[in-house]
Amino acid sequence: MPKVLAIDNELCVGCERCALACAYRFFKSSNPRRGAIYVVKLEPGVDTPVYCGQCGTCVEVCPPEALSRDPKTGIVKVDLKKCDGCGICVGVCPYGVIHVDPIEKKAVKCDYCGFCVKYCPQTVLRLIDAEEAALWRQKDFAKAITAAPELARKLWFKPPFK
Amino acid sequence: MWLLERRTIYLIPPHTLLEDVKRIFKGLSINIKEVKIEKSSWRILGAKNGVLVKAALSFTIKQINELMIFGETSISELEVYSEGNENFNKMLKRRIEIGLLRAAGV
Amino acid sequence: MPRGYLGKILRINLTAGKWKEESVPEDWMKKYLGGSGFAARILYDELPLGIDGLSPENKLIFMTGPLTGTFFPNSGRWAAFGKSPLTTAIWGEAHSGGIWGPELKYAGFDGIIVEGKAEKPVYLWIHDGKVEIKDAKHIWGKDVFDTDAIIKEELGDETVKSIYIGPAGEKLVRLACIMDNLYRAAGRCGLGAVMGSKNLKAIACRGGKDIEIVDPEKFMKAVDIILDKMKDNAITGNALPTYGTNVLTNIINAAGAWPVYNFQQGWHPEAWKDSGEMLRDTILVKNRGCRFCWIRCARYSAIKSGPYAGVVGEGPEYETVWAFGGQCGIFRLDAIQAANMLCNKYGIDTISTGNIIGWAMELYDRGIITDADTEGIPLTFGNHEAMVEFTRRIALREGKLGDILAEGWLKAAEKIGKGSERLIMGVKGLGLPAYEPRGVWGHALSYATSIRGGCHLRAYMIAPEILGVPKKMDPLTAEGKAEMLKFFQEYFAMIDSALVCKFVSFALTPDDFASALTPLTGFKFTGEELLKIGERVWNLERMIQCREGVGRKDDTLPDRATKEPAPVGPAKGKTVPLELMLDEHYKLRGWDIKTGIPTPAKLRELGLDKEAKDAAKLL
Repeated sequence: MPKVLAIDNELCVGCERCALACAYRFFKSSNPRRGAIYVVKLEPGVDTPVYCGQCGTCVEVCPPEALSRDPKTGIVKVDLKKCDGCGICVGVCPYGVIHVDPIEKKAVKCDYCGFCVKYCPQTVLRLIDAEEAALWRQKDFAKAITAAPELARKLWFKPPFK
Repeated sequence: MWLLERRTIYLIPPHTLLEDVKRIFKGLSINIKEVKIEKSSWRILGAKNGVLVKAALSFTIKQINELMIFGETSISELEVYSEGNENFNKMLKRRIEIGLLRAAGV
Repeated sequence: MPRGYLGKILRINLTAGKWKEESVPEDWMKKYLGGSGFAARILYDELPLGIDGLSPENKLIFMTGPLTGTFFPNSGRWAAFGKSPLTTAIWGEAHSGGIWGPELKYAGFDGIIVEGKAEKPVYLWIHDGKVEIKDAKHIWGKDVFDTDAIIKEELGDETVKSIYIGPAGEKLVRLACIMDNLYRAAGRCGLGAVMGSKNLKAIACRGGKDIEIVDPEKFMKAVDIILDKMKDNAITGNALPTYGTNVLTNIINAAGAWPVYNFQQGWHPEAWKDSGEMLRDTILVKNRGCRFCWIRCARYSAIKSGPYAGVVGEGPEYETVWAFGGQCGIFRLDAIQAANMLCNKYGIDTISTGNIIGWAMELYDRGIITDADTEGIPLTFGNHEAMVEFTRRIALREGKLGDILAEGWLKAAEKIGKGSERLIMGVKGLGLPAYEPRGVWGHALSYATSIRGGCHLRAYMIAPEILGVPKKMDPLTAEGKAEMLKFFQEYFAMIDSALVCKFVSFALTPDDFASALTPLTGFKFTGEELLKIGERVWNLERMIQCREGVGRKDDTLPDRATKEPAPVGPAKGKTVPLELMLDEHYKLRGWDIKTGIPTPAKLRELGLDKEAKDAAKLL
């Protein structure tokens, strides 16, 4: 079973440390804008990371065919030699989770490397078997179309001290 | 050996304090000769130019009355002994204060 | 080549409508580190003496430090500095969490110096090294929540990060603060009024610049160790994310240090109703964190029933809970959170507002102010509706009493008279925060000697005296307090210069900071050297106030703390022996014992030669 990135977004506090870690992993950068994970903060109280789900829409439209799907893992990767930073993938991505780095001028997207996982202080991110990930994603989708955050109650899960 | 410093420390894990004291010794070029770790205590023996310095810590894990919310936590008793002269001891004492300095502000 | 720093400060003159970029001297980085250190250097060199805090001659400084915006934990903060229009301390300083600090660096600047006064309301738009002064006529008068939304819409970008003042700052309320991301505040010293006096409504930033690291691998390795230490710690890894800062209410009350009814006593049987445990069981929705936070101590609450149903947002914090809770004799979290939301909405400091309302309640209790002054509202301890109403009135300068209290304690006492001044629970005109001085003597000394006035954040003596960190000290003795205080003041001054959140210091020592700052900046720091920087910054801040006449006579405590024995709790029957602790503290600091002014010898030792000459003239 390939490992995929999944989240429990009810635990997210919007601290952006995942984006900061990702920027470091790609470019040894300290600016979270350069990372491949995007933290959305909306009032009231919505915090969640958003990242590539490997849907493959970008693969279809890339003119130099720099985007391709790895047959073993299913992960869509950027071939840095072929990418020319044209940005067509950015306009086509349904989730807004691919961008062209302004300095390197190449497309940047999540490839499930998992570097961000240990840098989340709330254990929101997890690199798990695809089967388990499916359960988290069902929950994500259900939450996205139902209860407003102020009606949900998700406390920091560590129980009170014994 | 002179008792240079004795203090009670709440909450901070004893193994963290061990690393702190090791760093304090290193900062003053005190060579660490022996580190002994037991179930509820540890001690370090070091020497600089033949002058011995010893740090010993013993701890219990229990609930502190005034700090109920932390549940069972560590209460450590740290003692530092030194054979050094006045200058050396003054430096060591200051290094201990800085090396263990934890604070916050709520 | 600046490392960790952007190496640039933006100087903007609002009168002329012009700005320029200035380089940060490398000398400053080594001597003052950044943050408070840079601000102290600038204010010492440039702040004219004897000016009114609300005059265009005041300088409003925004500053970050080398660690801000980096992978170091809790690096998402910033601070504001200037002459305070509220206190007699001269030095005004306020730090804030939120999201703006790193964005200022990503936009190209380590800090901003704002001078003069704009002819009409403006806001600044700083993006990738470019600066625009934009018309703010359409947002002047809008509350904090609307301001944030309007700026984002106007600039066409949801990812723009701004700081702003609310109506309180615009109306020059001396308790006004500067807000970040709707709920975070650079709260104290009235710096929101300074921003308002310059007709500056907001500063918006967005940036793609990077912060250079000299040795990225070594830096990340040091940070990995630091992150583990913080997770392993009972406070930063467990108590704070679970219960928030309000975990302290029950602890401080049990220790007899929770001030109730304007500091008349330090303990109350109903404190548990305002506690962090109660918060978690009732109104808490989730926790939250500032940008890049590793602790996540913030709360997000929703009031679902009762007279305050519908109040949703971040908070309340320990200090806020105390200010609108114990200080005013109120033991219900919903009223406290409602007052908190009003403070966020209008941009006013919660600690100061709660403290001053509690003071007014005691005055009302004693008949010094009456129904005629309150326009019929019974301003009694425990009346939560009056408390919430007066929060609004002070923020908007409404009603006679609201307008008087908006001037701060000292000016209000001048107007009210009748011995009201003696009941002010503040130092240097800054109202005391949530710890009863009679219950914790080291912390009381911290209140008296803190540069900006009655403040708990310049040396948190609660840590040793109640929490037993870094060593357990008896709160009711004077022994060893002056020495420990000196270490704390210097450690915190250093953290305020490196500019990250102080809470990391529950788990980290100065050596931990050195292990990260060295590979970041390329300068070889040790814990000892960092404390020396802290000492230098502290002395420089002190000289800024001493040269304008502040000294031992201002390092005081209210009479209640030194003359009225505590009525209940562990400190029952005791008062604070301030004078002897002050003597010891000045001696340890190398300051003149009679006047509390730093001696020229001490200043020269710290490499502050110009300041040493100035001190010689004063002594």
